[in-house]
Amino acid sequence: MTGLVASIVEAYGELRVNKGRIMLSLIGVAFSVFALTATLGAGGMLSSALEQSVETFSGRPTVLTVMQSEPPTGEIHPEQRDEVVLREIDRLGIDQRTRYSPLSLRYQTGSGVRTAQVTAVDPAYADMFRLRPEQGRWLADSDARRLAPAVVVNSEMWELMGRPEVGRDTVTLYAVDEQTSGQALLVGVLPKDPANAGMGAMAYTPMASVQELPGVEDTDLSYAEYRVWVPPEEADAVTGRLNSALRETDAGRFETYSGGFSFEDSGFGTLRTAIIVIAVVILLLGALGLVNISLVTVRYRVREIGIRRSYGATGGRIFTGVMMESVVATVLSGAVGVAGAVALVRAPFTQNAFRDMGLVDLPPFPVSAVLIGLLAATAVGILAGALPALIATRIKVIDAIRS
Amino acid sequence: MTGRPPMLELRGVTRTVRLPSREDLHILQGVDLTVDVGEHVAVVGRSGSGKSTLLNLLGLIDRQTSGELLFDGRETIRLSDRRRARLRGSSIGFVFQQFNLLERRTALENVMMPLLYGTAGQFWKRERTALEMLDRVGLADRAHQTPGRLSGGEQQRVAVARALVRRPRLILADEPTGALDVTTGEAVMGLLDEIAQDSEAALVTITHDLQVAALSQRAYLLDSGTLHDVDSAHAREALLATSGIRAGREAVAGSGPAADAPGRRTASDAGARA
Repeated sequence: MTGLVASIVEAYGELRVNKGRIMLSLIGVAFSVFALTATLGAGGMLSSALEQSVETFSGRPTVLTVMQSEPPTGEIHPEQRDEVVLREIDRLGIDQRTRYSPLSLRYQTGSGVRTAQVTAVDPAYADMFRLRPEQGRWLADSDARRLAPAVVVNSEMWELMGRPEVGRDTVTLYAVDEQTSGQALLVGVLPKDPANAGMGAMAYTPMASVQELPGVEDTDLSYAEYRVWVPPEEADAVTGRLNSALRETDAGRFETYSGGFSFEDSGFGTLRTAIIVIAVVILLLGALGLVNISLVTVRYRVREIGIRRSYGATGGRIFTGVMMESVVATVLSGAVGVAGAVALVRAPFTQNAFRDMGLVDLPPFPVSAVLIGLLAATAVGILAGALPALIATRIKVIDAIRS
Repeated sequence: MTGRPPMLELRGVTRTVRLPSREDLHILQGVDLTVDVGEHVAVVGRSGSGKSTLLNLLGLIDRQTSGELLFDGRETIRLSDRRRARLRGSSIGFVFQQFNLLERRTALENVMMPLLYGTAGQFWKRERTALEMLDRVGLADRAHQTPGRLSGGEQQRVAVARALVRRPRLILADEPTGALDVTTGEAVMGLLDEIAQDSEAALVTITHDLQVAALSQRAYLLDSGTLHDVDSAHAREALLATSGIRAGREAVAGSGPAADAPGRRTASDAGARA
């Protein structure tokens, strides 16, 4: 233990005495670690942003879609159809599931009545599609008991409606033929989402009270679709079991498929790999610079090493000392680089940029990026210290003292 | 006879190196030497006579080609590099001609350096021990000066303090006054001798200066790789044949800082015998 402390004391002494030279040599390492950590951190957050943006549109990676492929032979009420399908889903112990029924309704704007895409869903839909209102709240089970159906609208629709007060104002909705109208309570507004930009006015309403909406008939609910969110490792098994169970039912034939967007299989995976490769190249260049400087330094320190050996420093101790100098220095500079990277990525202007890209759940700075940054700095220290340390142990004491 | 082995003993030690021309160069040939606790031994010789090679062997920095080198009665050739380094650190202190202080380190840091390789107790008390040693050589007030701000004599005193800070039992001094003027050299040698005596450490001085050698209890001449008692006929002839040494011997005849110390030979004595 004392030997280790003594090695650190020795290394610190060396760093202190040669701080100018070492600072210069470590700028490269600090910058490399900064670049590596910032790239990995920002890359991770960018990936999350893209992933989340895509998921608001297509659902999380293992959201399965259960869709009717053949209609039933006889008449069946939508509620009975739902019962058939949901029973099979519930039997598999899946609690993250939603019915899904797209509708069209009209709504009042300052410049007339317009059409909105209204989707009737169950409350679980928000988690599955990573929707989080920026005002108000998402749909809840209790909304089914309201006299006026609840709606969550996107910001575009909210703007066009004249920004009604969320949670208090009711909005008037019309059937497509505008023959009937009804009131709905605005409970939430979704933020702007680049993935859905240009999709126009959109709204979500609880499936449980969908028939309270003006002009909605059973025929409007004939299109049957369900979404289930399952753990990735169970996706294939659940798909198979649902396909088997819902092949022939009184409600018709249903097929299950993975409707989620596989982030890893997409070009984003390649982007992430490219980012890592660039960061590693930057780091290796920094390491090479440090190795070069360390080698030159050891040559300058031949006499000193010889003197230390004459006073009892063992070869192992010299090796540890030289190595420790390198590691202590690179870990310190790595910490500076990591701190700089975290500060940059967490800076308000960077965070705003991520939000503009559709990052709903702003993730913390990836711990993996911090660890990789520090580990890389340590590895560079070991790499850059090993060769000079080896050379230092091979210095002949006699020649060194006389040099 | 106490039966206790000498602290350092060389028996028929040789050192041969292979030259690039594939010829063997015999630097030391059959060297016999015994150094006891508290003794002061000097080895004189011309440049290229093998003095430094002998010093490196005595300091366990180099290994002999043949013969035996015993430290406290134990053969050292088979000790691992690590054991030799530890033995060197704990039992041997070096004083070099060019001081060899660590640049940009203060006198205190230089003196503390050997304690980094010592025991846990020595390591944790290194600053106090080093300050005491600097005080012992009269440099307590210069403890925080770097070598560049110290005179040659002060630098060598720092080197002496560093050599003695781990209380070695053997001090090896390689031309300790070689880079100093006569007066300063005498003062440094006097100090080295005094501290060595106080700590009962053996002192082996390698020098080409008879005045320095005269301070020792025993002196040897290293000539062409062989060691001769300075009183021997061979040594006498060799000294006479070497003008440099003769001049040095004659210059100090009848003088020397410790010339009259009991048990000490003087340069004039050596010269008379030569």
